[in-house]
Amino acid sequence: MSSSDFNETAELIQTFTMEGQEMLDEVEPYFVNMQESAESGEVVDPEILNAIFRLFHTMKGSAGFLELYNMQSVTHEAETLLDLYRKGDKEPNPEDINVLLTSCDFIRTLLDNITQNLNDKGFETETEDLVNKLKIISNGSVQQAAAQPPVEEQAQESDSTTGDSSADQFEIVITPEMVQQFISEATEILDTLEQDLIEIESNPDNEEMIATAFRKLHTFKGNCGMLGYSDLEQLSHRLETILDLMRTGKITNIKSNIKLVLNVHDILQEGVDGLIKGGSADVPKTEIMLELLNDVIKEIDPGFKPEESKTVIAAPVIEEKPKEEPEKKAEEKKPEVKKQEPSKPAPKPKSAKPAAIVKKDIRVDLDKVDKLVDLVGEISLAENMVVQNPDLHGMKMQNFERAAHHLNGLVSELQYVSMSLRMIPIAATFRKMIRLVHDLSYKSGKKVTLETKGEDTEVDKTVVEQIADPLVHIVRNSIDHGIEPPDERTELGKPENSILLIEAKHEGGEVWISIVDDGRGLNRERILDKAISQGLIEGDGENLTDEEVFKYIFEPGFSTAKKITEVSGRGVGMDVVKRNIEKLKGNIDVKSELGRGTTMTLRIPLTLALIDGMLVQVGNTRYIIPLLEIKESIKPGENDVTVTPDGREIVKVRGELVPVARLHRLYNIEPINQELHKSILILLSHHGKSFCLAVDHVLGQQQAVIKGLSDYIGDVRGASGCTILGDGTVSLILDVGSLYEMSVLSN
Amino acid sequence: MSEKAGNEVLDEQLTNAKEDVSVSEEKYLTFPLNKEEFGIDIQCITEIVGILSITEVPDMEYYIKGVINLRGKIIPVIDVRKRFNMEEKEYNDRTCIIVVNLDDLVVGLIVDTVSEVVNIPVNQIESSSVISNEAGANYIKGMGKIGDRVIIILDIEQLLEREKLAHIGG
Repeated sequence: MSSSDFNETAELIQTFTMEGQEMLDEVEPYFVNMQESAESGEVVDPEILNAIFRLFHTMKGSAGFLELYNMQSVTHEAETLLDLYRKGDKEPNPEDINVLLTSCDFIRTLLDNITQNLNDKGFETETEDLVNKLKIISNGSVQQAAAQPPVEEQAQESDSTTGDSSADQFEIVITPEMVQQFISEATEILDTLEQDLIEIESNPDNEEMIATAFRKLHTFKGNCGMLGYSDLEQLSHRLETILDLMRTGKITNIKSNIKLVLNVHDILQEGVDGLIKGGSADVPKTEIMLELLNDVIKEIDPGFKPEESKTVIAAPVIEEKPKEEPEKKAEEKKPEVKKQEPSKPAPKPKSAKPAAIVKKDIRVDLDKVDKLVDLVGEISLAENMVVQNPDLHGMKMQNFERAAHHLNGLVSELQYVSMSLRMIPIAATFRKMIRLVHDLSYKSGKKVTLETKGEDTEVDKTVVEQIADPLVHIVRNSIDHGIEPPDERTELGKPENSILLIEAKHEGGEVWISIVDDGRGLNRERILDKAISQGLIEGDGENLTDEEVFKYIFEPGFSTAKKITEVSGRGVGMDVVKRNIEKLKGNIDVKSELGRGTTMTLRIPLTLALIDGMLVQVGNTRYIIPLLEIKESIKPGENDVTVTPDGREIVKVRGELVPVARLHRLYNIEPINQELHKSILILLSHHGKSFCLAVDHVLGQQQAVIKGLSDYIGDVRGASGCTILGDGTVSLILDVGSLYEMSVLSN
Repeated sequence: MSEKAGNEVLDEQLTNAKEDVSVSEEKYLTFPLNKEEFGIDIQCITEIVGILSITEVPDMEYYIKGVINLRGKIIPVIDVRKRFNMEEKEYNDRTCIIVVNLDDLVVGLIVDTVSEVVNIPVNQIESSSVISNEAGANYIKGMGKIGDRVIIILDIEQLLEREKLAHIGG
């Protein structure tokens, strides 16, 4: 069983226990209150009764859903008793309240056990005891506890009716939060399910995987049922049946049937998408799809009756899961446990269960996180304003310095931590590629194996959102244009099966996402021809490096494809890639070898909110240059500078000739020094191109909180944004790439 | 009373005036430029601050002086004298920045000084089309009359030339 699937169920249960603990903490004081009232003979506040009733009711519902039967029985009985109090059919007396308190304590014990073992087995006797006690109170002492059916049956009985009874007696109000939760869970389930199905397709003997997929569908079905999305519920129920047939070996032709399953999966996705858009989960194709599925099922299992589906949906849920699952696990580790199980549901040995993964998390509104990140940015500014306050200038303050240093360390850490709140693993984005590659390779008749590396790499949420589209386009391009058809590959002596690698890693202050294929590679000559014919290059372009040539594939409308296919060829995709990456202040590197393959690397800054920069001054204005792009700063000698007749300045840096850009000319400001040898040159490197920027002073290194210039101003030539300096003035953050284009290229 | 305090008093007056919105009258903040008096609807004004250090931004319209840091927010500032093609005047401690907010776009307007908040009944405002059909004067919303005073009421949206700038930016 894959660990991700296990995590899923575990996560659900952990959420439940966390909520349960919270509810108990909240309600416990009410019991004390109630007891006091009962002792002094006062009428118990109905609000208190309602609050306690709600606690047990909610817990019962969740417990039933998560198949925690002991928990369910106890909460059910407590609820019954409280209902009597609530309706005034019975007066609470202190002793009875004690029993209720004991129930609370017992639930706590159960919750603790669930946190560890993910089930509440092993407390059957205690449950029985408490249930009987509560029943006696509810029914009056006249009735005998002995008359009650044994707890096991009792549990089963209440199970099978839970679905109906809770719906009849108590209306479950579906809150928007529940829908939200459902959506996020369903998306996750469907995503991973898709991955599993594809895995099953390529490896039909993987029973383990089929079982995993089955369980996922099962959870999904349960969720749908709870919220009353009947279309989705019915569809997923049929799918479950098919997977079950596969699991038990009744369907032998798994490969061909998986296609159908994938189709239905897409329909389920549509339903969930409908919900995301705020609509309903109803799916128009349900009827047809159901019939189709029924046919498939009937073919294999003639005993199958589609009519039973709707009403008895709850039944297989209860029968299958608690039995099958532990059995399967037990089988792997301790075969003898299996035989004992039906007769004696004794406490399970802990070793037979994987150790519970305690995942402690809370869902937080993204707005709150962003606000925090903003605020921390402000704090860091305020810190600068204090520490670098002009009033302190020239003062000797050893202790202050020390305290300031300490503060600085803390603020940096705070900044790092708050930033990390926005970071999520890129795995979900990569998972989407699995399906894409599967579909594309099927459509194009090429054999492509997708490999992913570094799925755990964490990136900013905005990056994750922005990166999905570019990835899709690059992968499409690779498969459609890059990778050759199998016969061509065989001819070339390449393995028939091509490998597409998607990799993510942290590198310096950036995230690098590489897409590597082993296909044809980019054809320099074809790209050059096209670029020349489109007027993008003057002359024959022979002197351009490969990287410069490959850049043209990102031009809008640029395509060397001879025919436009269903997948790509219009020259739109790469333009989208470029624009999305630019939005993230990232870069794209293209490396390609003809006949060997192409590697595209998307380099994206780790955070979009902070940069390490160098503060420089030109005239009276100060600017920040991103530290990542600075190689060094130099003070040129008078003889190091050469001026060409057309006014270009070139400086010799350790034998290398580097062009010089003058910031004051670009921005039309008055510098302190006109002569180059009196100014300081910052050697910058952009995409492997070096150039020098002449400035008057270098004021030091500084971390800058990036702020956008106002919308009113729009984009500023040569600047990517601005920041607020320690003294409160605003300073532009220079964009080395566009400075290079503005100065060196346009000269 | 020092001028600085004068600003603060006016800022307070502004806040009070905004709370008290009457139907038939509109309130305007007035400021003198050369010999004329100008008015801005107080509904779009968020505050009035003294002059702050301005960072120049390259390639802007001639009247956009740059950006300022207003308590951690970066806002662009416009020199109203330059906008009206009047001769420039050096900023001093009487110079004010009127901070306006138009649909979440916050911009500062640099003026020599501010004078007062006045009520001008709607029926005392002549529409600008009466005065001129010239395209250049489209930032004038109307002319308000209070006794024998005439106040030129500004259309901030037009003053900022947002569409024109958006075009340049895009």
